[in-house]
Amino acid sequence: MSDKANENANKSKRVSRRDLLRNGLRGGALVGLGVSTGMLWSQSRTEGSVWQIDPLKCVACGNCATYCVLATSAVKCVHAYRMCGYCDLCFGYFEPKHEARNSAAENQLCPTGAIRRTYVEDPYYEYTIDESLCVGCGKCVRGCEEQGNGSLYLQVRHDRCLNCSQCSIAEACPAGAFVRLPAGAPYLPKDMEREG
Amino acid sequence: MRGGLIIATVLVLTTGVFAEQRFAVPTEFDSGYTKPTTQHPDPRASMMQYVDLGVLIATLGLASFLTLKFRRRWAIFTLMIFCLVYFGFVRGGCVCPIGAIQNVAMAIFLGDYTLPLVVLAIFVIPLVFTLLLGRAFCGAVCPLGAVQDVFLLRPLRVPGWLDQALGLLAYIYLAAAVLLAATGSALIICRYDPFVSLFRLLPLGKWIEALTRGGTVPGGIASITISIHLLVLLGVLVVICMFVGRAYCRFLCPYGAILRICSRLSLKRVTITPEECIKCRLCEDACHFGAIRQPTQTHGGHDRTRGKGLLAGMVLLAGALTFAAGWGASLLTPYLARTNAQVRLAEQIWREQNALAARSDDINDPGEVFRRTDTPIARLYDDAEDIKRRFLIGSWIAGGFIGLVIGGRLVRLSVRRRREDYEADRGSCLACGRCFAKCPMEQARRKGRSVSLTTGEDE
Amino acid sequence: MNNTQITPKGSPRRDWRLACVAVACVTGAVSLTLIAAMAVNYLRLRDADPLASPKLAGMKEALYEHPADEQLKDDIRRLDLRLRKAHLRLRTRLATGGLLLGSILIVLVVSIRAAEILGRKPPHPNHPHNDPKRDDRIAGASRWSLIALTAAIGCGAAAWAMLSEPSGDTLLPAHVNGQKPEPDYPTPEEVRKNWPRFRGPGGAGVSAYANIPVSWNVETGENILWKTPVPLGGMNSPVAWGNRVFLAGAKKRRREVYCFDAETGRLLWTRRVQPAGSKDDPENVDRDTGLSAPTCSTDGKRLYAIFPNGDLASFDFSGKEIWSRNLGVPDNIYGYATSLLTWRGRLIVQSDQGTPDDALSVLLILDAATGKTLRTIRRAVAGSWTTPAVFSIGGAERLVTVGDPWVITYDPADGRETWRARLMGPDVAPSPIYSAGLVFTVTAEAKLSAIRPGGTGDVTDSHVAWSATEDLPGICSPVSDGTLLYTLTSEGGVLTCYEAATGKRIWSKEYENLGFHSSPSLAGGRLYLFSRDGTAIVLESARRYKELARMKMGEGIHTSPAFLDGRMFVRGVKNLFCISGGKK
Repeated sequence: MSDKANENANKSKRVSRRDLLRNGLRGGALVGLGVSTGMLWSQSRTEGSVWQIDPLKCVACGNCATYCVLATSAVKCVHAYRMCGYCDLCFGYFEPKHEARNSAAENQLCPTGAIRRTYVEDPYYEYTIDESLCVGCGKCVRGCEEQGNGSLYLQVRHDRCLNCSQCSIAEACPAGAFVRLPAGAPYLPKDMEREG
Repeated sequence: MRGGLIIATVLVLTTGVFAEQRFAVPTEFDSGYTKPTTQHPDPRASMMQYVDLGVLIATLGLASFLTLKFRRRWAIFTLMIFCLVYFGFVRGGCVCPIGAIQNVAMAIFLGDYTLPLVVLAIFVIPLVFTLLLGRAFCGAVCPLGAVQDVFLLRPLRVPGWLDQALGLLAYIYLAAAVLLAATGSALIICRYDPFVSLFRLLPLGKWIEALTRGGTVPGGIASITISIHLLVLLGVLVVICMFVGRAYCRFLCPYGAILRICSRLSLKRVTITPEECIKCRLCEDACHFGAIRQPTQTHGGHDRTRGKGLLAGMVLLAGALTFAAGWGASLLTPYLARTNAQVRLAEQIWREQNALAARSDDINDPGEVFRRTDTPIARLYDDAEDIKRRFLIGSWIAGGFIGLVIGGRLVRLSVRRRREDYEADRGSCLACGRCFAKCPMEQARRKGRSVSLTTGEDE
Repeated sequence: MNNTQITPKGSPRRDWRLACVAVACVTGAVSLTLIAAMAVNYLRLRDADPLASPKLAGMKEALYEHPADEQLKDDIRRLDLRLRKAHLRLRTRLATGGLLLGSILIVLVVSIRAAEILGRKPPHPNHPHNDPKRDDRIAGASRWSLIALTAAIGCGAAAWAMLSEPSGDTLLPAHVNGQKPEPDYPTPEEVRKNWPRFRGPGGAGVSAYANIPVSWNVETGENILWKTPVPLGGMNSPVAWGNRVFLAGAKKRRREVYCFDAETGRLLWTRRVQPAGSKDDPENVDRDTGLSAPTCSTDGKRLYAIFPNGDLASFDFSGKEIWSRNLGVPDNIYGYATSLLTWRGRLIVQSDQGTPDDALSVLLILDAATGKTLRTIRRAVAGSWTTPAVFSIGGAERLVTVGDPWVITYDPADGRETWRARLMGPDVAPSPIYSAGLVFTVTAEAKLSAIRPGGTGDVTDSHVAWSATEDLPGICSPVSDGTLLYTLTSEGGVLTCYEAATGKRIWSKEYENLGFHSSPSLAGGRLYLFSRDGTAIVLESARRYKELARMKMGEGIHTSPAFLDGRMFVRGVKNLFCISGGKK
């Protein structure tokens, strides 16, 4: 542009004044950006963030099943075997008013039949979650929490989670149980297996 | 592991000490059964975010090169499609620099939030590029811009005055988004991002991830996400974008609002003609975003004095507007504060306490959950008051900012710039490369240097 | 512009364009229909999910009334299967709908682009002559449109405010009554003036009062206001509030709490602690810490005391028991040994036990008024004997706990973990302090660390400002006046002075033949040290070592002193001393 400047001295002066202003402002903006980035940098973490449910706060209200942006929620029930009583009468498996202790539809609490009950030995039964069926409604979690050992709990499963910047279940969670965790330790297991 | 500790554990647990175990946990099984360990699938590898960052830097660099040096619309378009596929469908549109505004605001204003380094980089890098090399990010890298570009069918010309007024909305959106993020209330940019639902229709990234995990796609193809209000929003915006070039970028995008300011200061900019402008106005036709400014005419002295009076008036008005808008926004504090869950809860509890609202014992009700935690109500009120104070200060600043932007626009509209040629407006130009592709002088230059390119229609 | 042709009617280019437009129209219509269908599907899945069928629930209820109804069972099973199939069908439809929509949109985009390219008109540079006033006209219109939009937004905001529910400001009690509700806990100012817990406000070991004597003499009684024997021994330190001083003591089968008059030293009341489930003489209590190691805590209304066997009780200041309970004997070689902490009407009990793998360690948050457990926070740490503290850090209150190997901080309001750092080693006893914007933690088996509080998750690598590894105390907690930091080792008797902000070691002093259990305290710019054999040392808190006085207490001291206005309370093995300059 400067080759045109000689056409008009007046104009050239005005242009260069404007350029000077622009250069100054740009320099200021870059320095400001650099300084604030540096300050934020020192408080940042190299790992990314992921969403997770704090099982100690979770009230298993059922919002996880409906509010996830995924058609089938990324929240699933997880079983902490180390806390499980292996009870014959499982409050997470059976309807409160079940008729018989067997896996018939009328006795099961889980609406999708995602909990598998396997006989281990007298008097113990193992309960396993089939995550492909689980919808994260938390019915079993509430049963186990209120009357059992609390070994069933809800967790965001990271093979499914899209890791939205704002989790829409977190917004709908009445207990504020959703937390951002570093991606290196993305679960809050109830039995602390992550530490073991 | 200390010997015999498991037994000690069980003893302690079964006697009900400190733990809430109601039933004894069996430790040994005669049948030889061993307890399975709960598997927790890992999230996307942390390393991959640096790949994203690398792709962002590479595409930004390439886009700048293409708009400033190579000057071929087809190349810019191809890069744009690549970025649409990668940042849009593979990465699911998240985290993007637009949403990162809020994460950065949270990192600055909320002590509890730790900003991942990559999010900071994703926010800052396009700003630096724009300050130096212009808005190449908008033109070729941003997947949201790309979606609007590919749907553009029959662009209508938005009148200049309407363009100016609508452009204001982006700043209001920006101010609101920062205010709500800085008070820890909501991330509205993410919640109302209309294009993310489009990207999630074909979540390539999730599928690739599932394949690399060695398994099938989790939950079958049901990893699709549908959110009805977003789909409707998407439909409406797509229809608008068919007829208004990049409506979201120009009138709503909060990051675009920041980039607009940055690109006014940029070192390099898109030039339309490589030589002298022949004033054919073809570039004005080619630009769908109303960014081409025509050469100015010389004005008489009479005009200039009147212009100065007007300018002085506008500067005064800008000052007054800044204050007035700040004051106006501060009056809205109590209503704005309701976007915060804590404030809502405090109001709900207060109403219930004073029998102004019925109590719900539904477990989905935040009030009910609050009662179950036995948190002191005074503490809840204290916290809500504290958030409201933040909102009061924040809305003064946000309102003042909006007033300042309106004032700045009024001032700028009253300043005459001298232009010899048809030029792309520094702020409005999205560096898409349509203008120079259409410029006859550019055609001539290419013919002079290269024989292979004979057409001006590059898409 | 000779490279663009006019497209005549019937030319193949025009035909292609028409075809593309047709495809675009069809795919556009299809995608709109698809979106509508998916919306319906989605709403059904969300609002009328077959899985939440009230009919099935009703049938299950009916079965409970008539358990033998085989026909009903059969119906339930059939309905259940049908509902689950319906649910799966809706989900699958939604998913396939999404895929289909995505694919159709691609076709739509391609056809739109093709139609646009094929339909491009040749450039026609024959615009009307450039209007010289155009810019001015646009600028004028823009100004008006901006003003109009501003006015419209203002009106919109006002309308929104009018239509919203009444302003929250008039709803919150603070504004209705003109004052905040009286809390059930003391204000920070009251806490600062008293000595509510082990090592006083914030666990800092710093007195709010400077008027503490520099020297005294136990034999002549100089500057000793009173000296009262304590019925049962214990390693716990005095706490003081107003005109009351509290202690706990125990022998094998008896655990007691004592209240003394701070003016006269008279023992006002003694109360026995014996809640249901209490276990006498727990086997795992170590001789070193004794049968009453944890220091009591008070919130100005009630006193809280805990013992190594897990007995926990609360008394009001007149000695009336408010509640008591037994938490069980922790799996910890010293029994329960961490001191109590009160915060905003809550009582915080840190019970670290076993090894991290045992998952036994917990942090209990109790309702101070009732003793009810509000929250049980599990901690993956081994047994430890540190006392947690709540620090006000950058406007937020944070509960800092030190365990093996993690320093973990929580939001005391909801028990949410905020950050943690892996800095500790086995057998941690010294408690954390907060000074000069840093949290200091130390243990003999690891290091002295200064942590910049903040961040989330594991901050070990990012937030440690400095650390030191020499002369580390294993029992005594550090103390700081805001610029200087002091640590005191138990066995070697080495007192070290650091610059708190940088970690620069300024000086160190070795007290030969002296050992320390009592943590150093600061009052009026002076450091007060009490050795195990009963030697009291007073020195200046300065960048240069300067001893001011050295006295004999006449009995061993294993506890840390408490301070009120002009008074220092020191518990010896047998007596409780009140050291005061002005005998009022």
